[in-house]
Amino acid sequence: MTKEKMLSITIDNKKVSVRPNQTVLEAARDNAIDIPSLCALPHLRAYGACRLCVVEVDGLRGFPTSCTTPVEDGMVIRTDTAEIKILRQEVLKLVLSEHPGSCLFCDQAAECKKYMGTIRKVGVTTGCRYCPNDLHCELQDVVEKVGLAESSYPVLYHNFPVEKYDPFYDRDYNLCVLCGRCVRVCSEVRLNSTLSFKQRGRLTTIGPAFDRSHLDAGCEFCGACVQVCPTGALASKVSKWTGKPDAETSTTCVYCPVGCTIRLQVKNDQVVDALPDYSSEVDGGLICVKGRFAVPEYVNHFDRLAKPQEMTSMGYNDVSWDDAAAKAAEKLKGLGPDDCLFVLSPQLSNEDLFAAQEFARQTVGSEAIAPSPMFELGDDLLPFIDLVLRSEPYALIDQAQAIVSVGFDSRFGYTPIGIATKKAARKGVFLASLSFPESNLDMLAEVSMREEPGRWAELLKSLIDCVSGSGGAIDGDVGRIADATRGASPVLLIVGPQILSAPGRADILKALLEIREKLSWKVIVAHPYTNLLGMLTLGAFPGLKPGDIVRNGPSAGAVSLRFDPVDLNKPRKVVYLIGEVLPASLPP
Amino acid sequence: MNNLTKRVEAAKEKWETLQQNKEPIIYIGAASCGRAAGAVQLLAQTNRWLKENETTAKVVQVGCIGPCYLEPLVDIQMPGQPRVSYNNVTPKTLPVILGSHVGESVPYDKMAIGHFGKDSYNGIPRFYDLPMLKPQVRIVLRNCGLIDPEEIDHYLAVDGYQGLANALNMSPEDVIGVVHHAGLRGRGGAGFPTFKKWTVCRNTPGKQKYLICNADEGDPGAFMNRSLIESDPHALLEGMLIAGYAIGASQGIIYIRAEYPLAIERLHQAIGQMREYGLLGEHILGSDFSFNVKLKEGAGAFVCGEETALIQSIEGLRGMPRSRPPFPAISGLHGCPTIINNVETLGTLPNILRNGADWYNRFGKEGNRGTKTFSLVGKVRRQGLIEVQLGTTLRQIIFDIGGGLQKPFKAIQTGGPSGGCLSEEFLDQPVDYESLAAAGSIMGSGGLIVMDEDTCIVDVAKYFLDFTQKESCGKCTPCRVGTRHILEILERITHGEGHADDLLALRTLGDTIKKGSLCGLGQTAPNPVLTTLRYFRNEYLEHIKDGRCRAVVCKDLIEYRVIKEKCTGCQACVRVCPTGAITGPRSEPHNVDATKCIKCRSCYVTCRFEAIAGDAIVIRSAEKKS
Repeated sequence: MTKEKMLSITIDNKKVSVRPNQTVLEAARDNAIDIPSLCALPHLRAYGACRLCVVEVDGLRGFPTSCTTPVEDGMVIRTDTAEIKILRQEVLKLVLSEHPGSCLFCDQAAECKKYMGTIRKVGVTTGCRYCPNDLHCELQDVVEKVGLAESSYPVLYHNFPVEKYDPFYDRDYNLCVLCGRCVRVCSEVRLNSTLSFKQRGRLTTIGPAFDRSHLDAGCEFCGACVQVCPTGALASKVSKWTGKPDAETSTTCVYCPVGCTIRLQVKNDQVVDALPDYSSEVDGGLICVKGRFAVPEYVNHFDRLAKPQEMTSMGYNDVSWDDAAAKAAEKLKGLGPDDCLFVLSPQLSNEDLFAAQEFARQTVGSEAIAPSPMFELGDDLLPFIDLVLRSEPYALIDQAQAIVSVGFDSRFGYTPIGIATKKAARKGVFLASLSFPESNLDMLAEVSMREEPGRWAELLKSLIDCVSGSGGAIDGDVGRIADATRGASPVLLIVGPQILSAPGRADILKALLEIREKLSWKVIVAHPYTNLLGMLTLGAFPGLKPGDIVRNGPSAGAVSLRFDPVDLNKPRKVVYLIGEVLPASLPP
Repeated sequence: MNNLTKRVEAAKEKWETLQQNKEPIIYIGAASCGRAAGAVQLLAQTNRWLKENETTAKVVQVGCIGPCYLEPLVDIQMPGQPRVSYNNVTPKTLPVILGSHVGESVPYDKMAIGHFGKDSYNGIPRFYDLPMLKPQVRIVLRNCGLIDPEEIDHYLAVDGYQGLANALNMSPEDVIGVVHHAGLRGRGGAGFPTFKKWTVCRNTPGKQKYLICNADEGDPGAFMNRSLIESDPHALLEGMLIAGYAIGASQGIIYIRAEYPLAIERLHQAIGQMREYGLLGEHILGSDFSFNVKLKEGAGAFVCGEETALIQSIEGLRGMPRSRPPFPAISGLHGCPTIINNVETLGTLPNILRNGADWYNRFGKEGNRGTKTFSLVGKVRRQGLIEVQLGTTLRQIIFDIGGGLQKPFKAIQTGGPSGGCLSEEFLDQPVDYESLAAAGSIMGSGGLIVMDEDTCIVDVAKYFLDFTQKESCGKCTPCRVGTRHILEILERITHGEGHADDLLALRTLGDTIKKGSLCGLGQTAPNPVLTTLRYFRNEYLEHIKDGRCRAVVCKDLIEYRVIKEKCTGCQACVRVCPTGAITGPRSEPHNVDATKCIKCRSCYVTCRFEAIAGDAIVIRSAEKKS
């Protein structure tokens, strides 16, 4: 491995050694010279709009922006001359002349912060509610860094109405400084392009083009824009007024099998926000609306049970943990194996699953363990598990020569898979999408088929015939897919959760398995059963012992999987729901 | 090659036949300026007259020959006689002219402005000896107004595409050498040496390269590029082929503003004709050079004349400029090496390649070779499109060519919204890139607006800032916000609400915007303000301190009054006043009610030119508010 040749530059009269292929801004920050900037971000392309990071470079005319200037060997850079200081202050004054800066200019700021909490019957907080970003605002930081003390330019208040009728986050463009980060992250990182600059001159603002609503414009409510906004213009509803978090914990989202990393923001021991982790090897920071916004909202929801309750003739009563355990133990004592049914949730952690099946098998001696997928999939359970067990890691999408997606839409889930697919399609890889009523991949798909799920099995069958050359339709969409995929390798088949609720599901699964075996396509299954693999590994299925599946080898697949039959319709004395709700199909 | 030679021969024969016409030819200047003056009606009228008088004649629509103030121009060429040009023809005078010159072969010399023959003729001066034309050196505009822009054969007959033929006989590097030696600088405004940009592009590796022609011409009032394209589209296209060959591009794109429908139509037509003649497509003129041209229409944004914003627009993105580096010559359209040249730069190339660099060096001066087209407008007597050698002085342009002003000269604005206003002391400055820049202005694309004492310089600065503020794309802070502040200050000053520290604020803001902006629009937007502050400071001070507008333009600072001693009470003004502000009984001096007066100038103009008194209404500075 050849080591990168380091470059030598002089910055503020100091000679330093820097890596090649970076900007002057990055090189300066690596060397403890913190040039202020509002629009530059590490994972966004160089933009050069705010003009705060200007520097002087020998040999370059004027004041180039350090965020767009690549370092070159022998460069001489000055970041802090008197002229630059004044220029930065003037530019910042202009920025502030379009940004209501009560946090900076208000006479009462200090006093106000003393009276933030209040003792009243109703939970009300006092204090400045002018801007949600107060005390943790990038613009405030820049003002401090640049050392601006006053400005005499008249402030223009645009008087935009605050946009708060969409879920999850509010938009107050009166606070927007037009750094463009939101537009860029939506377009470059999320490959969604919902946001754009509108109008020009003094009327420039940001929003979906043609004045469409966010939903109509395809917004996935992923919150990437909210996180990059340096002001309070974009703010998550749930964490808007909670102030600066005092701790952060990284954890794994439980909404789907992708298992993205989310960084929980904690304040006063409460979860107030969930942010992506762009350095995560699992998802690269491309989390979906569920992990981003649903987590903090559900965790703190007032309907969520936080204490054990017992149902009495008068309704639910709070009981202590000890009492609850004792009462439950009483009910379970002396039960025979056939008297209970254990219903398990696929969202349980591995530890919980192990404990659950241990309890059922060792303590009660029962094999009546029924994970909820059993109820939902019935006879299709085994073929489905077969597909899942041989599902490929989604990193394979980068190498695909052709991609076909069935029943998949990544707007509100499985976003790393969706974005990798969009990236491939943009590079020119063939993409076909079969979905109903539509999929967010349609826009980039060369062939997009919107067909009723009832027809999918037949379409897939004809595709198999067409590709393998044994007859079948040569015209139309199926023909085009066949032409594009015949001879390509690897071809990726992305299976989405829409197939699980489709009529003719059994036939669809059969066709998908055939595609995998006969056409040798690689399959990626996007399904809602978060820890299905954990359930299989830890024996949370009737007749499957912990570790069995590992012992039998990965190639065994579902062929050798055999679950003990459990009569789901038999009346039981006790139904023990672990992490689950009562399946609708159970007899009362 | 043989193919073209044959066609050229045929074209020259055709042209000769036209020149040695056996039947009358009537040329009508029907480019946009001619049409605006009424040429379309005259065209229809001519055709009707010919039918009614059972006369056969060839009617040719030509482009713009330059003196817009003389439009509509109708030229008549009878067999055996030189072509005679009639100016400012109206539907009333046309039949008289046709009757005499076509009907009786007698030129109507009372209404003729000039002729195109060699010697004197019938007391009519030679067109090219007219004071407006004589000092001009028409290279780029050589065919405008003379050939039919819709006839490729006319272009071929006047040695069109010979420049391309010469270029294809050299190596691309040699072509760049010729352009280097000729000293051609970009005519779009920046004046960057054309060969330098081309060399960078030539040396950048890449299979696909692009040549883009910037025909956005966004400067308000500029029409040099439009005239050239409407009057002689092949000049531009031949230039594009030469440039494309030199840099190694296979695809040419003309980015033309949608507001030029006639120019767009002419280009489509010309491109079709080129294809027929084997001048576009594969193996042009039998060489290894293959080139195609397509058009992309703009959509109403001045900022898309900036080269990186133009590229974004062609790529289908919002027209916002990109930071440089990387420069377009290295990484431009779709990431490929791209050269963007102005219409005039490209239109000059055929002449350089046809006649040689040494020939081109005869014009202009060291460092500023060749000629430049200018649109000379404003308070001069003779307005129009002119072409002069670089180094000609402003005095020569304004007074010799332009015929001077009726009132005392005040200022000349050069370079459009990116340029500045220069005062009297600069009249003897040569018009070249460096001199204008040293004075704080720029050459720009060639707009020259002459102003006299009736122009308020603060109002002019406000007009240009209003334009740049509206056209700012909004990407960078200094331009988007800074121009708004400057505009607000200027508006206050013109409303009589200026403060003492406004001038300092204007300078500070101007400085910030110039240094901090991302692209040329922002970097040059403060120029009108900064130059007017420099050379007309007193006028600003008068507005602020005295509340006085010496040009009596700024409405809040002036009032209209009747001079009782002169007013004859003829009621002419009363009839035209839209608000009933001016009143008075017949035969008695009238009166203006300042509360109703909207300062529309109707009474002033009427009294001046149509009423008995002639000068009874004056516009004066308002009484200073206490």
